[in-house]
Amino acid sequence: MGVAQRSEGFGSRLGKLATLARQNPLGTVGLIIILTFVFLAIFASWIAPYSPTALSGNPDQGLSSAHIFGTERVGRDIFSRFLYGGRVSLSVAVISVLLGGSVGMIIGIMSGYSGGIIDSTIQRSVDTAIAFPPLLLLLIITTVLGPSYRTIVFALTLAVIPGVIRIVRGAVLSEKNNQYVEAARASGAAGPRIVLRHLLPNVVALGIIVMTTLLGGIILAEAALAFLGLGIPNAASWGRDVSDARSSFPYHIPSALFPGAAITLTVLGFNVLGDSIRDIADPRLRGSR
Amino acid sequence: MQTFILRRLIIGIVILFVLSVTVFLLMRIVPGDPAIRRCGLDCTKPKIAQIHKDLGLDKPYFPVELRRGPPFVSFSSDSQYGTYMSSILTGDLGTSTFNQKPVGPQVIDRMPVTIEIMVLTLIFTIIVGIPFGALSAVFRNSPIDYVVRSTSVLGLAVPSFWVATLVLVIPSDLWGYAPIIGRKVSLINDPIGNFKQVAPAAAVLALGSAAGVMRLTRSSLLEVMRQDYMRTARAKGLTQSAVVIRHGLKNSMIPVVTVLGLQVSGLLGGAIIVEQIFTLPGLGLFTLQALLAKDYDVVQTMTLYAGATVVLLNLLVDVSYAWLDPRIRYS
Amino acid sequence: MAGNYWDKLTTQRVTRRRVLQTTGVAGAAAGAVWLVGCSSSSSTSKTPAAGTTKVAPTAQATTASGVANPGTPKAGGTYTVASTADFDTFDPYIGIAASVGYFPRLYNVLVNFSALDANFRFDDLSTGYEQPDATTYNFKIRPGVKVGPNQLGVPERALDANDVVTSYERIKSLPQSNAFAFIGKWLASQTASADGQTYTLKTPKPYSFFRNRIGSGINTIVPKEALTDAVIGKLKQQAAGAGAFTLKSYTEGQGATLIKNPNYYRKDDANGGASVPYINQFDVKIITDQSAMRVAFQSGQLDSYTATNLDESNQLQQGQKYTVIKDPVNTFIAFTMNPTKDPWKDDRIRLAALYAIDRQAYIDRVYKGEAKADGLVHWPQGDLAFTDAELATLQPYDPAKSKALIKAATGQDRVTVKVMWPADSDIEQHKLHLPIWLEQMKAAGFDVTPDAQPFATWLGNYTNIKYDASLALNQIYEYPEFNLDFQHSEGPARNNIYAIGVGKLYPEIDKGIDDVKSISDHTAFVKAIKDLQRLIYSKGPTFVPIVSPYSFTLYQSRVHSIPQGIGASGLFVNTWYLDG
Repeated sequence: MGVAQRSEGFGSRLGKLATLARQNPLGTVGLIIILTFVFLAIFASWIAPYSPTALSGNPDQGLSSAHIFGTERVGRDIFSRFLYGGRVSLSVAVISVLLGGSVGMIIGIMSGYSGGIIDSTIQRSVDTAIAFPPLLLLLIITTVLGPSYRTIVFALTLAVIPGVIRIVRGAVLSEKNNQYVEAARASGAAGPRIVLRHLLPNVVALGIIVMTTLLGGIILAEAALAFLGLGIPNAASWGRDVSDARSSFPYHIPSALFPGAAITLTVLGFNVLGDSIRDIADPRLRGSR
Repeated sequence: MQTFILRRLIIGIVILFVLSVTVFLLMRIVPGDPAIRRCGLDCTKPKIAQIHKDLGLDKPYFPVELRRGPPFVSFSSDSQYGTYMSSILTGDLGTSTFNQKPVGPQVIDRMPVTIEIMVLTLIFTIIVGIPFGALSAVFRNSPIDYVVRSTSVLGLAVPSFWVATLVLVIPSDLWGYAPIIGRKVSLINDPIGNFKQVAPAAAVLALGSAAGVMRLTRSSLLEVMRQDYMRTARAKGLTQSAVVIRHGLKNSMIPVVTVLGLQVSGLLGGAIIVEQIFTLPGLGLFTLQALLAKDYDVVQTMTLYAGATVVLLNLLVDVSYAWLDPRIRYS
Repeated sequence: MAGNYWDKLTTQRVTRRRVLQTTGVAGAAAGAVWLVGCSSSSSTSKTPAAGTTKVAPTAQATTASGVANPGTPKAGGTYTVASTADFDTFDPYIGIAASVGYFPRLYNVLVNFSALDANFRFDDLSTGYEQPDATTYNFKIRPGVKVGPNQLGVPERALDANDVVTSYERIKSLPQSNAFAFIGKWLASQTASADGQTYTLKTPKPYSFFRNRIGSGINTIVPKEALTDAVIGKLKQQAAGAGAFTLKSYTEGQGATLIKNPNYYRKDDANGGASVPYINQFDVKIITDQSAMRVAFQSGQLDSYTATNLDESNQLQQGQKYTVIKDPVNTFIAFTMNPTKDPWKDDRIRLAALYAIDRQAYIDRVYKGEAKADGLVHWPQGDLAFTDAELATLQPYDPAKSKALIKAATGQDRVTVKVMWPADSDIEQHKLHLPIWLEQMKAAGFDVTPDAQPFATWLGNYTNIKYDASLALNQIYEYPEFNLDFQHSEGPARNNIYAIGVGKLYPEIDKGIDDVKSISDHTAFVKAIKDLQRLIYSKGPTFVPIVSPYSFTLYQSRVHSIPQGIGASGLFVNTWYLDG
């Protein structure tokens, strides 16, 4: 069964949340990490002491009061780039996953529910797409269309869709055969109603879980693209900064450490958060925590 | 069983066909002419035209094309796609546009390196991922469990190119140690040197994939352990470990094997990164360079190979289900 | 010629410095020879290369001409070096990438002059030449320059004037050859004497840059048997020549091995006439990753390594006994404007972009002080170059003036411009220069709309001049000819590709550029080049080089007598040796 319906008052909702938090310490930590980074990214312009492109200091400086994370290779402030970098890295990941996830869910539901030829065709296409090594696909698209924010989001969205379709379709198939769907049909409910009332909530929940797990991987993919030189040109992004810092490594640690830590922490946060959500949402799995 | 395999093979071929057309088109949508590089400073229109001809770029794309006016469909015996397909099938993979050498021998020369990286990575993944995942499941919520879970979560989060750089640079700076760089060390002649060269790259890739396998083994083993037949086995008096090993592990391997099969596709991408950093002359590096040089032939060929590998491996995975869980039937 | 430089960048993602590594000994600057295919010699410069203002902190680093780590030569040993780019072919007329650094080692030239050191002259296949008039050169062929053992069936005989004729004929017939811009345009006629011991070359007009070009690694002389139709295709993997080394083997993707040519004619007079080269074998490994290359050097697998910057060089040196050679490397980033497009049509806007550049920022931030500002003919070479003080008046850093010019030209305070550049190039200078350049343009009143393109796309657009303005990493030009040609209306090769120079707007600039190529008298030449530059500065150049750095190359302590201060000419010098 899916997530139970709740309709209590606000106070007891908070109480429920607190209980959830207590029972899932890792997930809570993950959530806090994510929220912190999101906050930092959104308010970057207020928090950052310098513009991320300004040559505000001497190159390759260590930590100091003027530059709390030091300066990078040409003298830009690492802390400011750390903050603004979140905007690019996080927004790219979130947009790609939301877009790809939504499209994937819609197609997956259609595919699973319709069955027959439509289902087969879609599944074959998904198989084809999955046969393509993802990094290679990303590389080809960004080389072909030229690296830019839009291209990268487009490429990452495409990379997300097949996996989501497959998982969602699987869920739809197993739900389709469920007792309550049969019962609903027996009681004369029409097709779309079945979908809306029974399938959707469960499948959407699954979709959300899948998307959270994907977020981490997408951030890493964007970083890998930047490393190979096909990242978003010109913008402060964590992946790009780590890649740029390779030439100063190991002589100047901060320039690679901070953006690298940002990537690792964010991915970590999304992963544990995803794990916790999955555990909470699916009591069957809870026992196997 | 045979019909199952046959059906999957046919589907696999269709998939590869679609993949080949997709990559073929992708490489050609792009603005940018591979002939320009070769043209050089004294470039003139006739010279570019000649280079186009040499590279076969003046031929129509497909053997069958639609036309706006009559006769509406045109056939050509000599088309770029036709050349591409025939070269794949006959094994003559043409000449690379960026280093003007035949592609076939280069691929054959580089394949063992990439295969070795993949195999070693999978070995590391299995050796580390499965036992630790199992331990973590069996000793649930114990310190071992927490250590394994934290390590795996971290392993999935760290960017691979970053770890690779650390692994390459730190031993050198601290101890002056480095594997042999820039030269292919033969496995037959110098197995130790070869291992020293490939192992760091495989270890880096295995970090991410072992982490995933650890988690998956753990959760799937836990799931299995709760099943009825496991309880029955325990009730029958078998010891915990016997139960786990005999029944639990085998059944929990199904999702793990699936994931391993899927991971190959991701590992092929990861190979590009580690080959670049550790200077291993394999197919990943080759493909990357070809891509940046807009060498259509090589990128198309490599993509098909990658796709074929993934399709074949997934087929193997599906077949192995039968061995792992006799309850699975094939329709 | 210049165009093939791009080939290299697309075939392998290389940083400028790494490229130079292909040459091993003779320092980074030596790599220059292949890129423009133009080599050595600012024949006209009377004073040696400009002195250095900064000396690297370690005692061994020096930029004076001469040798580093001297000693008594010993024969033997294998020298190992890395290249980020692979070899493509050993045909010296169409080779690009790593191969070009090795043509001077495998083949011969008539004579080589160094662009960096006026005193350096290397008579190779010829023992000398006379000029009965301004357009005729009579070279005396050196006897006994014998071809080495090879697998192409070329007999091990002495080269003569006929080989020169065949080689240059081939270049002239091949418009895509690297040296076509020289041989194709400036070889009016050539003859070999009946006995083959004299070679005569005539140019259509006097050619001021003759001594720069004649000794280039891209117009080396190949035995005529190797250029026959039957053999020439095999040059992809093999070579036959009378140079100091022969090509023993080549494995694609991994590297090449050269061994000493037992027939090589040269002797080391300073060492009792011992034969050179001293080393037995020369291994070139293909290593594409900078970190991997450094690691290989530190663990002793490579004999030399060019550091990415001064800091890395200093770090590597700590506690070690490496020899460090600091050499000028004439690479640079340039900003190219298209004078047929708005707003670059207006002199004032071009000048505004010129004055926006604070070269000191690049010198400090990118190169940690180890670089010099480029003028229009960038950074050479004795009396051809303006001093830093003169440059400061001709191309001042003055963002306030930029803004004033923008206001005068457009009536607005700021102007929006679209600029393209190659986004995925691994070239460190691009990555490092770009953010600095963008900030400087912003501060000077320009709102830059970035148009970052994948390299191959960018190259296509740059070649076809489909841009308003572009940042470009250009080649190494060791002497002024090519830089000035960029300001010509027909572009650097006179075939309307890559750039449209300011000469398009001012025909007198076109004429000046053409005229300066034919001035024989040195004093008049120097004056003409400087006056031409002043003229271009006054009208607003369309091609603006920024700065050129020094490179720091480290050598294991066992490498001795390393030539330095002579740039690309070092590739011909083989009196260095290994000890240990």
